[in-house]
Amino acid sequence: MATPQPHEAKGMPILVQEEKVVEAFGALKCPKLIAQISQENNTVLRNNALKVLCEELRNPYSASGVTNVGAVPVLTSLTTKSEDKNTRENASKALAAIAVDSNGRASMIKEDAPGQVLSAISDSSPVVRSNVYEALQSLSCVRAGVSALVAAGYAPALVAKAKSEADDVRHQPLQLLLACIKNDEGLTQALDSEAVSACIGNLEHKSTLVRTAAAGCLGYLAFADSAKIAAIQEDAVPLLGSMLEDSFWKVRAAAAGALMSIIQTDAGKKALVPAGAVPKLIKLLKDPNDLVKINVLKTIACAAVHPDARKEMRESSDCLPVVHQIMDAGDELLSKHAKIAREAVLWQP
Amino acid sequence: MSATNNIMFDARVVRGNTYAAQVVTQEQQRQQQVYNRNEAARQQRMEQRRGGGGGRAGTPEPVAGRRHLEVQTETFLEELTDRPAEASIETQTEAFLDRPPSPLFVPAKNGVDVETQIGAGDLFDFDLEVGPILDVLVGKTLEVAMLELMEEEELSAIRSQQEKFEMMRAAELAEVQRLEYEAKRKFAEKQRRKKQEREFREAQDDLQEKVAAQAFAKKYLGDLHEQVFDSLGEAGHFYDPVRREVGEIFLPWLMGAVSTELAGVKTAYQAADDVIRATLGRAVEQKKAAEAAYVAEQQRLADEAEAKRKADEEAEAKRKADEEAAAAEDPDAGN
Repeated sequence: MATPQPHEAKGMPILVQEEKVVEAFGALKCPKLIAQISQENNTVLRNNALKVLCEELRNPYSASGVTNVGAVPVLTSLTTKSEDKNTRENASKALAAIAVDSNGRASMIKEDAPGQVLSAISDSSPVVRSNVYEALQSLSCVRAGVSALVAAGYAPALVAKAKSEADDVRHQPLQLLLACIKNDEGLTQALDSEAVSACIGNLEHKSTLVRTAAAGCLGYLAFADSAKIAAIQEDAVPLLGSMLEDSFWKVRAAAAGALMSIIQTDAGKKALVPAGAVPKLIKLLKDPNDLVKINVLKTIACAAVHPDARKEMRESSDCLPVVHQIMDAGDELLSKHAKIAREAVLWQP
Repeated sequence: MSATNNIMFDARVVRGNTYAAQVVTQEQQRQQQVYNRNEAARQQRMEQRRGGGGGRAGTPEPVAGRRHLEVQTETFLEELTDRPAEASIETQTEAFLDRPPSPLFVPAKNGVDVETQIGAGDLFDFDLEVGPILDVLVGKTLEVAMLELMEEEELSAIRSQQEKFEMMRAAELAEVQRLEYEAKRKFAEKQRRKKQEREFREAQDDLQEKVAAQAFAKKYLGDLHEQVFDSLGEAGHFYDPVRREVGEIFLPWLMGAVSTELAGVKTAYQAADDVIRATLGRAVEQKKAAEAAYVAEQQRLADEAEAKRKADEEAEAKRKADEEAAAAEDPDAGN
């Protein structure tokens, strides 16, 4: 016969914390994550879900999954309209992560994400701005992305940002502007917005990234005739000449590239010689980096049209011998342009 | 069970305080043992009836000279007595004491206690079994990490390839522009030289023209002085007055008078000619009119003769036709 034994019923199990993001199994993983991000009741849960999303987006399957359930409109909405700074930062970081994936990029273009996040480049938080730039930079890797950026009117906005953006992220709008001006419409818009002035204003910035981006952007802009004239009028040639002696190779390469574009005109060649850039160009022929050398070779080929510059190049003991070395080095591309430079230097009227 | 089925008279219904220990009398114990035996046998019969031979074998019968006893093997032993020990204790609750809270109800334990013990090595060797699991976990983690690293490397390679392509493209674009500007310069130079040559040729032509004009003018103006006097002399600027008067006044008057006289003579001759012409013309006209009348009369006569001849012929023809017609109507009349 049973005897009464004291025991107590166990309490209910402890519920999972509301702010904890638990991965759902199978096909429900991505929809649940997006649902947690979309909800507005619990901000901590939303931020945690955004952080989890950033990690999950490293997996292409997850990236495709969240894209299919409509993550992009949610992220763009949170990036621009959320009042919580952490939410905007996390959402923009997730947007940058989703833009790395090709499915994410396609979804961003389809949902017109560039047009919706345009206001985010003026956000008060530099982290948000940086993440948005990064997302748009990933988007600009494809032609359709560049078209979408130009159609959304980014070129004039980026030119304005190139003048007023904070120092630590100023290189990003310049890099994005470089992508936009590869589209004809974007180039026109940028030139109309005085992009040349903006780039010249950043050539003496203390950050090497900014100087590199500004010189690169100026070089590409200067393929247009009006930009060449504007750059020469604003004394860009002496500035670029001084940048040829920079310690960072990318700055030297970008400066040589910009000079290569600007001195196509006679006015540019006339501005080059008094700036004392010819000896610096000759010295850069010995640079170990191929990008620097090729830009310098093209600049020399353009500058050699000027009689004084040609004379200086012929009389220099470092110019023609080094050019011959480059011709015989074995790199087909460098050899071809070295040959063109040699012919230009040795040309007789 | 009683016939009336009244629970008050049912031995199985416990009366009195159910919290106190139940006193089990010896008689009740014996009855319980009998009941248990019967119950066990019944269960065994039921199992056999089900067809299972899986029932446990019962306790064998005691060996001769021994006797099985029922003993308590429960965990908690209790002293079984007919009458429990009693003691009188008095208590009194305070009148104004609050009712204490009801004690927590702890339901009586029921069921069968079963215990088990897992000895060392009964289930599995953790150190042995955790190996494959850890291999999978670590391997999966490493694989994902490698994939991510490869993806980053691939992206980096793609970026560098893009930069290299951009470099080539920019160089080619610069070369194209350089050639364009070179072509423009050459074209401009060519135009300047053509213009220069054109201006030189024009200057040369002007010079030649000037030289030719100068030579011609010099040649022309060399004989000018003599030619001027010759021309003036031919023009009559150097003349004799008497000669001029004779030539310009006298001779014209003389000629005028002569021409007037001759004009009168001419007029008279002309009048005579007119009269003669008129007379002759009238004569000719009359002659023509007479001739025309004569011809018309002759023609009229001829026409009348012709008309008469035709009428005669027609009459003759009609007469013949009538005779033939009559002959045709009456052939016998002719016979």
